[in-house]
Amino acid sequence: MFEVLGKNQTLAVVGLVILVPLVVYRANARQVSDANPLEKLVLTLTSPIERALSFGVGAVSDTYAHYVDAIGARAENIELRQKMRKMSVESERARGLELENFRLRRLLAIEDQNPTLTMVAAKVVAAGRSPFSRTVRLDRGQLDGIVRGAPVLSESGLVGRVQRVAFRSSEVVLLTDERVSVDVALARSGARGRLRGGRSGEVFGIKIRGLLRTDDVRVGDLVVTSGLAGIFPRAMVVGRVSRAETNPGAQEPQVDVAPEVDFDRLDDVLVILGHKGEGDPVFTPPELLPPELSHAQTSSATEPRDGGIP
Amino acid sequence: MKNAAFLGLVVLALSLEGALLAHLPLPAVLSALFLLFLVLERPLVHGALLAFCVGYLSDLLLGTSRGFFATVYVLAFFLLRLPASRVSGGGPLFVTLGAAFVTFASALLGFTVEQLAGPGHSHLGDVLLALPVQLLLSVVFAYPVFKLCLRLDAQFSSREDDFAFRG
Repeated sequence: MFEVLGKNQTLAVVGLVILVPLVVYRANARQVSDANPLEKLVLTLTSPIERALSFGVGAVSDTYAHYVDAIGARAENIELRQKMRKMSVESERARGLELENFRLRRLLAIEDQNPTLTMVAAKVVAAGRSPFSRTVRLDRGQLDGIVRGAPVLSESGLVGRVQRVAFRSSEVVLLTDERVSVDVALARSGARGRLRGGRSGEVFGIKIRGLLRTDDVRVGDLVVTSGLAGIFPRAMVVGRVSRAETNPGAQEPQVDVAPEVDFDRLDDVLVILGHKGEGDPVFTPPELLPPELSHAQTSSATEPRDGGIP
Repeated sequence: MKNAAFLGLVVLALSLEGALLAHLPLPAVLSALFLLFLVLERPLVHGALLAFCVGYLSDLLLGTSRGFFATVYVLAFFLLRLPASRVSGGGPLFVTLGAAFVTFASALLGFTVEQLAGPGHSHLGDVLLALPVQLLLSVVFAYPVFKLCLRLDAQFSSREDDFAFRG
Protein backbone atom coordinates (compact mmCIF):
# COMPACT_ATOMS: atom_id res chain seq x y z
CA MET A 1 0.00 0.00 0.00
CA PHE A 2 2.78 2.42 1.00
CA GLU A 3 4.74 1.38 -2.03
CA VAL A 4 1.76 2.15 -4.26
CA LEU A 5 1.30 5.46 -2.46
CA GLY A 6 4.99 6.19 -2.84
CA LYS A 7 4.83 5.46 -6.56
CA ASN A 8 1.73 7.57 -6.90
CA GLN A 9 3.37 10.39 -4.99
CA THR A 10 6.33 10.24 -7.31
CA LEU A 11 4.09 10.23 -10.34
CA ALA A 12 2.14 13.13 -8.89
CA VAL A 13 5.31 15.11 -8.30
CA VAL A 14 6.55 14.32 -11.81
CA GLY A 15 3.21 15.32 -13.27
CA LEU A 16 3.18 18.54 -11.28
CA VAL A 17 6.75 19.35 -12.16
CA ILE A 18 5.85 19.00 -15.83
CA LEU A 19 2.46 20.66 -15.67
CA VAL A 20 3.29 23.71 -13.57
CA PRO A 21 5.95 25.15 -15.84
CA LEU A 22 3.90 24.26 -18.89
CA VAL A 23 0.92 26.15 -17.52
CA VAL A 24 3.12 29.05 -16.52
CA TYR A 25 4.61 29.08 -19.98
CA ARG A 26 1.22 28.87 -21.67
CA ALA A 27 0.11 31.82 -19.59
CA ASN A 28 3.20 33.88 -20.27
CA ALA A 29 4.01 32.89 -23.84
CA ARG A 30 1.53 35.21 -25.51
CA GLN A 31 1.19 37.90 -22.90
CA VAL A 32 4.11 38.82 -20.71
CA SER A 33 3.04 39.32 -17.12
CA ASP A 34 4.73 41.44 -14.53
CA ALA A 35 7.22 39.81 -12.17
CA ASN A 36 5.70 38.17 -9.13
CA PRO A 37 7.15 38.79 -5.63
CA LEU A 38 9.40 35.73 -5.82
CA GLU A 39 10.76 36.76 -9.21
CA LYS A 40 11.23 40.30 -7.92
CA LEU A 41 13.18 38.94 -4.98
CA VAL A 42 15.42 36.83 -7.19
CA LEU A 43 15.98 39.71 -9.60
CA THR A 44 16.68 42.11 -6.74
CA LEU A 45 19.20 39.71 -5.30
CA THR A 46 20.91 39.05 -8.61
CA SER A 47 20.88 42.67 -9.77
CA PRO A 48 23.97 43.82 -7.78
CA ILE A 49 25.79 40.65 -8.78
CA GLU A 50 24.96 41.25 -12.43
CA ARG A 51 25.97 44.89 -12.13
CA ALA A 52 29.32 44.00 -10.59
CA LEU A 53 29.95 41.25 -13.12
CA SER A 54 28.86 43.48 -15.97
CA PHE A 55 31.28 46.15 -14.77
CA GLY A 56 34.14 43.63 -14.68
CA VAL A 57 33.21 42.04 -17.97
CA GLY A 58 32.70 45.48 -19.50
CA ALA A 59 36.16 46.57 -18.38
CA VAL A 60 37.70 43.42 -19.84
CA SER A 61 35.60 43.78 -22.96
CA ASP A 62 36.61 47.44 -23.36
CA THR A 63 40.26 46.54 -22.92
CA TYR A 64 39.87 43.80 -25.46
CA ALA A 65 38.02 46.15 -27.81
CA HIS A 66 40.84 48.69 -27.48
CA TYR A 67 43.35 45.95 -28.15
CA VAL A 68 41.41 44.84 -31.22
CA ASP A 69 41.14 48.48 -32.31
CA ALA A 70 44.90 48.86 -31.90
CA ILE A 71 45.48 45.71 -33.94
CA GLY A 72 42.99 47.01 -36.51
CA ALA A 73 44.71 50.39 -36.58
CA ARG A 74 48.05 48.69 -37.11
CA ALA A 75 46.66 46.59 -39.96
CA GLU A 76 45.01 49.69 -41.39
CA ASN A 77 48.28 51.56 -41.06
CA ILE A 78 50.11 48.83 -42.97
CA GLU A 79 47.39 48.82 -45.61
CA LEU A 80 47.53 52.61 -45.96
CA ARG A 81 51.31 52.51 -46.26
CA GLN A 82 51.01 49.92 -49.01
CA LYS A 83 48.39 52.04 -50.74
CA MET A 84 50.63 55.08 -50.43
CA ARG A 85 53.57 53.19 -51.91
CA LYS A 86 51.38 51.94 -54.73
CA MET A 87 50.07 55.44 -55.37
CA SER A 88 53.60 56.77 -55.32
CA VAL A 89 54.61 54.23 -57.97
CA GLU A 90 51.53 55.09 -59.98
CA SER A 91 52.29 58.77 -59.59
CA GLU A 92 55.84 58.21 -60.84
CA ARG A 93 54.47 56.20 -63.73
CA ALA A 94 52.00 58.97 -64.54
CA ARG A 95 54.82 61.48 -64.35
CA GLY A 96 56.86 59.31 -66.73
CA LEU A 97 53.93 59.06 -69.11
CA GLU A 98 53.42 62.79 -68.90
CA LEU A 99 57.05 63.42 -69.77
CA GLU A 100 56.90 60.91 -72.59
CA ASN A 101 53.75 62.55 -73.84
CA PHE A 102 55.45 65.93 -73.71
CA ARG A 103 58.46 64.61 -75.60
CA LEU A 104 56.33 62.96 -78.26
CA ARG A 105 54.21 66.08 -78.67
CA ARG A 106 57.30 68.15 -79.20
CA LEU A 107 58.66 65.66 -81.72
CA LEU A 108 55.30 65.63 -83.46
CA ALA A 109 55.29 69.41 -83.53
CA ILE A 110 58.71 69.38 -85.21
CA GLU A 111 57.40 66.97 -87.83
CA ASP A 112 54.21 68.99 -88.33
CA GLN A 113 56.04 72.26 -88.74
CA ASN A 114 58.52 70.90 -91.25
CA PRO A 115 56.59 69.38 -94.13
CA THR A 116 59.66 69.81 -96.36
CA LEU A 117 61.73 67.52 -94.14
CA THR A 118 61.55 63.77 -94.50
CA MET A 119 61.82 62.34 -91.02
CA VAL A 120 61.30 59.05 -89.32
CA ALA A 121 60.63 58.57 -85.65
CA ALA A 122 62.73 56.01 -83.86
CA LYS A 123 63.17 54.67 -80.39
CA VAL A 124 66.44 54.25 -78.59
CA VAL A 125 66.72 50.57 -77.77
CA ALA A 126 70.29 50.32 -76.52
CA ALA A 127 73.23 52.43 -75.53
CA GLY A 128 76.87 51.67 -76.16
CA ARG A 129 78.85 53.19 -73.37
CA SER A 130 82.46 52.20 -73.81
CA PRO A 131 85.38 54.27 -72.57
CA PHE A 132 86.03 55.21 -76.16
CA SER A 133 82.70 56.01 -77.65
CA ARG A 134 79.23 57.29 -76.97
CA THR A 135 76.60 55.70 -79.15
CA VAL A 136 72.98 54.62 -79.01
CA ARG A 137 71.12 52.06 -81.06
CA LEU A 138 67.78 52.88 -82.72
CA ASP A 139 65.00 50.49 -83.65
CA ARG A 140 64.86 51.79 -87.23
CA GLY A 141 67.28 50.97 -90.02
CA GLN A 142 67.85 50.75 -93.74
CA LEU A 143 64.39 49.34 -94.44
CA ASP A 144 62.91 52.45 -92.80
CA GLY A 145 64.93 54.72 -95.06
CA ILE A 146 67.70 55.61 -92.64
CA VAL A 147 71.05 56.32 -94.26
CA ARG A 148 74.51 56.75 -92.85
CA GLY A 149 75.25 60.31 -91.71
CA ALA A 150 71.61 61.25 -91.12
CA PRO A 151 71.19 63.80 -88.32
CA VAL A 152 69.31 62.66 -85.28
CA LEU A 153 67.47 65.01 -82.97
CA SER A 154 65.34 64.75 -79.89
CA GLU A 155 62.73 67.14 -78.57
CA SER A 156 65.48 69.04 -76.76
CA GLY A 157 67.92 69.40 -79.60
CA LEU A 158 70.60 67.73 -81.66
CA VAL A 159 71.59 64.23 -80.60
CA GLY A 160 74.18 63.17 -83.15
CA ARG A 161 74.36 61.38 -86.46
CA VAL A 162 73.84 57.92 -87.78
CA GLN A 163 77.09 56.02 -87.93
CA ARG A 164 76.09 52.52 -88.96
CA VAL A 165 72.91 51.24 -90.54
CA ALA A 166 71.53 47.73 -90.42
CA PHE A 167 68.26 46.54 -91.94
CA ARG A 168 66.16 47.11 -88.87
CA SER A 169 68.43 49.11 -86.62
CA SER A 170 70.99 51.83 -86.74
CA GLU A 171 73.75 53.17 -84.57
CA VAL A 172 73.95 56.84 -83.70
CA VAL A 173 77.13 58.45 -82.56
CA LEU A 174 76.34 61.11 -79.98
CA LEU A 175 77.58 64.68 -79.89
CA THR A 176 79.71 63.84 -76.88
CA ASP A 177 81.72 61.31 -78.92
CA GLU A 178 85.01 62.72 -80.15
CA ARG A 179 84.36 61.40 -83.65
CA VAL A 180 81.56 63.92 -84.16
CA SER A 181 82.23 67.35 -85.56
CA VAL A 182 79.45 69.88 -86.13
CA ASP A 183 79.55 73.45 -87.44
CA VAL A 184 77.87 75.61 -84.84
CA ALA A 185 77.16 79.24 -84.09
CA LEU A 186 76.35 81.21 -80.98
CA ALA A 187 72.79 82.44 -81.26
CA ARG A 188 73.45 85.73 -79.46
CA SER A 189 76.63 86.91 -81.17
CA GLY A 190 76.69 84.81 -84.32
CA ALA A 191 80.25 83.66 -83.65
CA ARG A 192 81.03 80.40 -85.45
CA GLY A 193 83.12 77.41 -84.61
CA ARG A 194 83.32 73.64 -84.75
CA LEU A 195 81.83 71.60 -82.05
CA ARG A 196 83.82 68.50 -81.01
CA GLY A 197 82.94 65.83 -78.55
CA GLY A 198 85.59 64.49 -76.27
CA ARG A 199 86.56 63.17 -72.94
CA SER A 200 87.91 65.16 -70.07
CA GLY A 201 88.98 62.45 -67.66
CA GLU A 202 85.96 60.26 -67.01
CA VAL A 203 83.45 62.79 -68.31
CA PHE A 204 82.35 63.05 -71.92
CA GLY A 205 81.72 66.63 -72.91
CA ILE A 206 81.52 69.05 -75.84
CA LYS A 207 83.86 71.85 -76.74
CA ILE A 208 83.79 74.53 -79.41
CA ARG A 209 86.95 74.94 -81.42
CA GLY A 210 87.80 77.53 -84.03
CA LEU A 211 86.35 80.58 -82.35
CA LEU A 212 88.33 83.78 -82.60
CA ARG A 213 89.91 85.44 -79.60
CA THR A 214 87.85 88.49 -80.36
CA ASP A 215 84.54 86.63 -80.55
CA ASP A 216 81.92 87.59 -78.00
CA VAL A 217 81.37 84.44 -75.99
CA ARG A 218 79.56 84.36 -72.66
CA VAL A 219 78.54 81.63 -70.32
CA GLY A 220 74.90 80.74 -71.00
CA ASP A 221 75.03 81.58 -74.72
CA LEU A 222 72.84 79.29 -76.80
CA VAL A 223 74.75 77.13 -79.29
CA VAL A 224 72.96 76.08 -82.48
CA THR A 225 73.96 74.40 -85.72
CA SER A 226 75.14 76.80 -88.37
CA GLY A 227 74.24 74.52 -91.28
CA LEU A 228 77.45 75.44 -93.09
CA ALA A 229 78.73 71.95 -93.83
CA GLY A 230 75.37 70.92 -95.22
CA ILE A 231 75.21 67.87 -93.01
CA PHE A 232 73.08 69.25 -90.21
CA PRO A 233 70.23 71.61 -90.92
CA ARG A 234 70.61 75.12 -89.60
CA ALA A 235 69.40 76.37 -86.19
CA MET A 236 69.15 73.08 -84.38
CA VAL A 237 69.69 73.59 -80.66
CA VAL A 238 72.89 72.00 -79.40
CA GLY A 239 73.39 73.38 -75.91
CA ARG A 240 74.60 76.32 -73.87
CA VAL A 241 78.06 77.65 -73.16
CA SER A 242 79.04 76.38 -69.74
CA ARG A 243 82.62 77.70 -69.63
CA ALA A 244 84.35 80.42 -71.66
CA GLU A 245 87.97 81.27 -70.88
CA THR A 246 90.62 82.96 -72.90
CA ASN A 247 94.13 82.16 -71.74
CA PRO A 248 96.74 84.87 -72.19
CA GLY A 249 98.64 84.27 -75.41
CA ALA A 250 96.11 81.71 -76.72
CA GLN A 251 94.68 82.23 -80.19
CA GLU A 252 91.22 80.97 -79.36
CA PRO A 253 89.05 80.86 -76.23
CA GLN A 254 88.38 77.59 -74.36
CA VAL A 255 84.65 77.09 -74.64
CA ASP A 256 82.76 74.17 -73.09
CA VAL A 257 79.16 73.46 -74.00
CA ALA A 258 76.53 71.81 -71.82
CA PRO A 259 74.30 69.88 -74.23
CA GLU A 260 70.54 70.49 -74.08
CA VAL A 261 69.92 66.82 -74.67
CA ASP A 262 70.21 64.51 -71.70
CA PHE A 263 72.09 61.68 -73.40
CA ASP A 264 71.53 59.35 -70.46
CA ARG A 265 67.77 59.55 -70.85
CA LEU A 266 67.27 59.39 -74.57
CA ASP A 267 64.08 57.66 -75.58
CA ASP A 268 62.29 58.90 -78.69
CA VAL A 269 64.19 60.61 -81.51
CA LEU A 270 63.67 61.82 -85.03
CA VAL A 271 66.03 60.87 -87.85
CA ILE A 272 66.15 63.40 -90.64
CA LEU A 273 66.23 61.59 -93.94
CA GLY A 274 66.18 64.53 -96.33
CA HIS A 275 65.19 68.11 -96.97
CA LYS A 276 63.12 69.06 -99.98
CA GLY A 277 62.25 72.66 -100.60
CA GLU A 278 63.62 76.03 -99.69
CA GLY A 279 64.11 77.83 -96.42
CA ASP A 280 65.25 76.57 -93.07
CA PRO A 281 63.34 73.93 -91.26
CA VAL A 282 61.87 74.78 -87.88
CA PHE A 283 63.09 72.29 -85.36
CA THR A 284 61.46 73.51 -82.27
CA PRO A 285 58.00 75.04 -81.99
CA PRO A 286 58.37 78.80 -81.47
CA GLU A 287 56.52 78.71 -78.17
CA LEU A 288 59.02 76.23 -76.81
CA LEU A 289 62.12 77.98 -78.05
CA PRO A 290 64.32 80.25 -75.95
CA PRO A 291 63.54 83.90 -76.75
CA GLU A 292 66.81 84.60 -78.51
CA LEU A 293 66.45 81.63 -80.84
CA SER A 294 62.79 81.94 -81.70
CA HIS A 295 63.59 85.25 -83.31
CA ALA A 296 66.54 83.81 -85.21
CA GLN A 297 64.75 80.67 -86.35
CA THR A 298 61.83 82.43 -87.91
CA SER A 299 64.07 84.66 -90.01
CA SER A 300 65.43 83.68 -93.39
CA ALA A 301 68.86 82.09 -93.70
CA THR A 302 69.82 84.45 -96.47
CA GLU A 303 69.19 87.56 -94.42
CA PRO A 304 71.75 87.73 -91.68
CA ARG A 305 70.98 90.15 -88.91
CA ASP A 306 73.26 92.05 -86.66
CA GLY A 307 74.35 89.92 -83.79
CA GLY A 308 72.22 86.99 -84.97
CA ILE A 309 72.86 83.86 -86.88
CA PRO A 310 74.15 84.62 -90.33
CA MET B 1 21.76 22.62 1.87
CA LYS B 2 23.71 21.34 -1.10
CA ASN B 3 20.71 21.98 -3.32
CA ALA B 4 20.56 25.58 -2.11
CA ALA B 5 24.28 25.93 -2.77
CA PHE B 6 23.75 24.45 -6.21
CA LEU B 7 21.01 26.97 -6.96
CA GLY B 8 23.23 29.74 -5.64
CA LEU B 9 25.93 28.62 -8.03
CA VAL B 10 23.38 28.56 -10.85
CA VAL B 11 22.28 32.12 -10.04
CA LEU B 12 25.90 33.30 -10.00
CA ALA B 13 26.81 31.45 -13.19
CA LEU B 14 23.77 32.62 -15.08
CA SER B 15 24.38 36.21 -13.95
CA LEU B 16 27.94 35.96 -15.16
CA GLU B 17 26.76 34.43 -18.42
CA GLY B 18 24.22 37.22 -18.86
CA ALA B 19 26.92 39.83 -18.23
CA LEU B 20 29.20 38.14 -20.74
CA LEU B 21 26.52 37.72 -23.37
CA ALA B 22 25.86 41.47 -23.19
CA HIS B 23 29.29 41.90 -24.79
CA LEU B 24 29.63 38.74 -26.86
CA PRO B 25 27.25 37.51 -29.56
CA LEU B 26 27.13 33.95 -28.21
CA PRO B 27 24.27 31.66 -27.15
CA ALA B 28 23.64 30.74 -23.51
CA VAL B 29 24.74 27.21 -22.64
CA LEU B 30 25.47 27.09 -18.92
CA SER B 31 21.96 26.15 -17.80
CA ALA B 32 22.07 23.07 -20.05
CA LEU B 33 25.34 22.07 -18.37
CA PHE B 34 23.74 22.38 -14.94
CA LEU B 35 20.93 20.21 -16.26
CA LEU B 36 23.49 17.60 -17.26
CA PHE B 37 24.80 17.59 -13.70
CA LEU B 38 21.29 17.05 -12.38
CA VAL B 39 20.65 14.25 -14.86
CA LEU B 40 23.82 12.44 -13.82
CA GLU B 41 24.01 13.22 -10.12
CA ARG B 42 20.55 13.76 -8.67
CA PRO B 43 17.70 11.35 -7.93
CA LEU B 44 14.52 11.58 -10.00
CA VAL B 45 12.28 13.83 -7.93
CA HIS B 46 15.01 16.05 -6.55
CA GLY B 47 16.52 16.33 -9.98
CA ALA B 48 13.21 17.20 -11.61
CA LEU B 49 12.51 19.90 -9.03
CA LEU B 50 15.99 21.33 -9.42
CA ALA B 51 15.66 21.17 -13.23
CA PHE B 52 12.51 23.20 -12.86
CA CYS B 53 14.35 25.71 -10.67
CA VAL B 54 17.29 25.93 -13.09
CA GLY B 55 14.86 26.42 -15.96
CA TYR B 56 12.90 29.03 -14.07
CA LEU B 57 16.07 30.91 -13.11
CA SER B 58 17.13 30.77 -16.75
CA ASP B 59 13.80 32.25 -17.75
CA LEU B 60 14.28 35.02 -15.20
CA LEU B 61 17.89 35.84 -15.93
CA LEU B 62 17.97 35.23 -19.69
CA GLY B 63 14.70 36.99 -20.36
CA THR B 64 12.66 34.19 -21.96
CA SER B 65 8.94 33.74 -21.31
CA ARG B 66 8.31 32.50 -17.79
CA GLY B 67 8.06 28.74 -17.75
CA PHE B 68 9.73 28.13 -21.12
CA PHE B 69 13.10 26.83 -19.96
CA ALA B 70 11.42 25.42 -16.87
CA THR B 71 9.24 23.22 -19.08
CA VAL B 72 12.04 22.36 -21.46
CA TYR B 73 14.49 21.40 -18.72
CA VAL B 74 11.98 19.34 -16.78
CA LEU B 75 11.05 17.46 -19.94
CA ALA B 76 14.70 17.09 -20.90
CA PHE B 77 15.51 15.87 -17.42
CA PHE B 78 12.89 13.11 -17.57
CA LEU B 79 13.82 12.26 -21.13
CA LEU B 80 17.53 11.89 -20.36
CA ARG B 81 17.22 10.48 -16.85
CA LEU B 82 16.30 7.01 -18.05
CA PRO B 83 19.25 6.46 -20.42
CA ALA B 84 21.54 8.22 -17.94
CA SER B 85 20.56 5.80 -15.18
CA ARG B 86 21.72 2.88 -17.33
CA VAL B 87 25.19 4.24 -17.97
CA SER B 88 27.78 5.26 -15.49
CA GLY B 89 30.79 7.50 -15.80
CA GLY B 90 32.16 10.85 -14.88
CA GLY B 91 35.24 11.20 -17.03
CA PRO B 92 35.84 14.17 -19.29
CA LEU B 93 34.79 12.33 -22.45
CA PHE B 94 31.61 11.01 -20.88
CA VAL B 95 30.64 14.42 -19.52
CA THR B 96 31.53 16.16 -22.77
CA LEU B 97 29.44 13.77 -24.83
CA GLY B 98 26.63 14.06 -22.31
CA ALA B 99 26.75 17.85 -22.52
CA ALA B 100 26.52 17.71 -26.30
CA PHE B 101 23.57 15.38 -26.04
CA VAL B 102 21.79 17.52 -23.42
CA THR B 103 22.37 20.68 -25.46
CA PHE B 104 21.05 19.02 -28.59
CA ALA B 105 18.03 17.57 -26.82
CA SER B 106 17.27 20.87 -25.07
CA ALA B 107 17.37 22.76 -28.35
CA LEU B 108 14.99 20.34 -30.07
CA LEU B 109 12.71 20.19 -27.05
CA GLY B 110 12.73 23.96 -26.85
CA PHE B 111 11.63 24.18 -30.46
CA THR B 112 8.90 21.59 -29.86
CA VAL B 113 7.60 23.29 -26.71
CA GLU B 114 7.61 26.68 -28.42
CA GLN B 115 5.68 25.27 -31.38
CA LEU B 116 3.15 23.34 -29.31
CA ALA B 117 2.64 25.50 -26.26
CA GLY B 118 4.05 28.87 -27.32
CA PRO B 119 3.37 31.32 -30.12
CA GLY B 120 5.12 29.07 -32.68
CA HIS B 121 7.20 31.82 -34.19
CA SER B 122 10.50 29.96 -34.18
CA HIS B 123 11.95 28.14 -37.20
CA LEU B 124 13.76 24.86 -37.04
CA GLY B 125 16.41 26.26 -39.42
CA ASP B 126 17.29 29.01 -36.95
CA VAL B 127 17.51 26.52 -34.11
CA LEU B 128 19.77 24.22 -36.12
CA LEU B 129 21.86 27.15 -37.28
CA ALA B 130 22.61 28.22 -33.71
CA LEU B 131 23.25 24.64 -32.61
CA PRO B 132 26.91 24.22 -33.72
CA VAL B 133 28.09 27.16 -31.60
CA GLN B 134 25.98 25.97 -28.67
CA LEU B 135 27.44 22.49 -29.00
CA LEU B 136 30.96 23.85 -29.23
CA LEU B 137 30.57 25.99 -26.12
CA SER B 138 28.90 23.14 -24.24
CA VAL B 139 31.72 20.78 -25.12
CA VAL B 140 34.31 23.33 -23.99
CA PHE B 141 32.69 24.22 -20.66
CA ALA B 142 31.01 20.92 -19.78
CA TYR B 143 33.70 19.28 -17.75
CA PRO B 144 34.80 22.36 -15.76
CA VAL B 145 31.19 23.13 -14.83
CA PHE B 146 30.52 19.52 -13.95
CA LYS B 147 33.63 19.34 -11.74
CA LEU B 148 32.68 22.60 -10.05
CA CYS B 149 29.24 21.24 -9.23
CA LEU B 150 30.74 18.01 -7.94
CA ARG B 151 33.18 19.92 -5.73
CA LEU B 152 30.37 22.07 -4.36
CA ASP B 153 28.33 18.96 -3.72
CA ALA B 154 31.22 17.32 -1.90
CA GLN B 155 31.82 20.45 0.15
CA PHE B 156 28.23 20.73 1.33
CA SER B 157 27.72 16.99 1.74
CA SER B 158 30.59 16.86 4.23
CA ARG B 159 29.13 19.80 6.14
CA GLU B 160 25.73 18.11 6.22
CA ASP B 161 27.47 15.00 7.60
CA ASP B 162 29.10 17.17 10.24
CA PHE B 163 25.77 18.66 11.23
CA ALA B 164 24.20 15.20 11.34
CA PHE B 165 27.04 13.94 13.57
CA ARG B 166 26.65 16.90 15.91
CA GLY B 167 22.88 16.55 15.93
